[in-house]
Amino acid sequence: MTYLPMMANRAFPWLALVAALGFGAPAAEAKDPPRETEQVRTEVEALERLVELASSSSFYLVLDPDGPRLTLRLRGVVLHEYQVTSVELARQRVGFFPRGEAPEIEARVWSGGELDPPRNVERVVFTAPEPDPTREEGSVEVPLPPPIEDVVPVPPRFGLRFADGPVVQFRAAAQKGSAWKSWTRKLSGRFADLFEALRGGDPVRLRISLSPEDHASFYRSLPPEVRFLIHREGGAAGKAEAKDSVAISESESRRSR
Amino acid sequence: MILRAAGVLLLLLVVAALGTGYDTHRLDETLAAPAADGDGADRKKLEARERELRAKYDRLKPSGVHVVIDQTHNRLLLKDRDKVVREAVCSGGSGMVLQVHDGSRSWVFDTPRGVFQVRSKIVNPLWRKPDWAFVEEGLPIPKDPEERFERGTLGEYALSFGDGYLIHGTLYTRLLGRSVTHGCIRLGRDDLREVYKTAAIGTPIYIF
Repeated sequence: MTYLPMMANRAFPWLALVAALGFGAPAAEAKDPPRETEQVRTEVEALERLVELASSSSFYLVLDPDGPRLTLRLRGVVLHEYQVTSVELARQRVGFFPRGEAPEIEARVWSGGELDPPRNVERVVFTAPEPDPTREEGSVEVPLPPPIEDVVPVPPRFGLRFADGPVVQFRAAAQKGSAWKSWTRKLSGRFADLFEALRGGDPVRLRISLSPEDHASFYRSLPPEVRFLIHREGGAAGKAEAKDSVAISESESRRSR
Repeated sequence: MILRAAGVLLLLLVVAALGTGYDTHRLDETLAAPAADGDGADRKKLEARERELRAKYDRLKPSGVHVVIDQTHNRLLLKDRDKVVREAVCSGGSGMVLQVHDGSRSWVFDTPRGVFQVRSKIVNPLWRKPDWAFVEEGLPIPKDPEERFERGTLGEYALSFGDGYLIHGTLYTRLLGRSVTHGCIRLGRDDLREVYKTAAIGTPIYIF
């Protein structure tokens, strides 16, 4: 009966010392956890690519898989942040056999990205009437172009194809709905994948689900010949946090703007 | 017998179909984990390079006020570093093609994409109407340059960002938020005042 309190008495100064010395250190490290040299090397490579992109006059996309976060940038300025709900690497398999090698995708710049199917906007052509000096100003009715929502339908899935990288496939994240709706959506996705694999489509794809609004916005406004970089912006800390906390369920990862 | 063979074939096809498609993995988990650690000297060099690159990247970004224009959704953001100072509804280029009645000339009314900067700032700007403004109205192009000037159309202020493109005001405020201009960016009165007040000459403008 007396043993435990005695031990507690003896242990107290040691416990206090351990607490003072030991517990302070991890708290400081949590802010900036130690990184492996290879992580620093990858970060340096990614930063080199980022500087290269920001020094050019091209528009570029930066995907941070840990966020997940997708941003359109120009000269280092974030022009738009798209609401990403999931990022996956999809590898094709035919009859249980995988096709294609998983590519090196981190810290590499993919160039010449174009939408597939392409965004075709038919321009309104207005032929002016013959000039007439007696005409009153404002009497000619110039047609107003229709809003972009009316002229550019957004496919439920579309790709971004690069000259030198895997295809990035974009999908609109599922909105909350009935179980039946969700099931039919999954089934149609499964069939689409099956036919795509049978057709011998892209062996490796990066799949990004965006919020429905940003899915449409991305398709309608993406500049031509965009470049693409995967960069873990949080570095080692980002990776550590991501492993613990990233839940990429479609509802959880929606962030407010 | 035939029915049994067809059944087996169907079963095989179903199994094959189940094994056909795409295997997906979360990208953050798929990316390679770091390999064996290098030596300390190498690491110090890498860390120095990392600091240098971060500083270089930060220098490439605008250090103060800049303007971001989303011409597809007709939104203008006035930003100071990463902070949005003002968000405004604007109007960008219509993308229309104007043709002269005989097809001899044509214009495309697009707003250019890219990086520009405020080149000049004008109070109570006079609009020097270009040829297309007369052609569109079915009026003859005047020979006297004085006949080209019009006051009041561009609002209280204009900020030029090169090649005749301006950020200016409008009389047609009900059309703000739609792509209806001949390439310039139109803003409502209060937003234009704020942009004029905040954006100095040289302020970068990013249009996408």
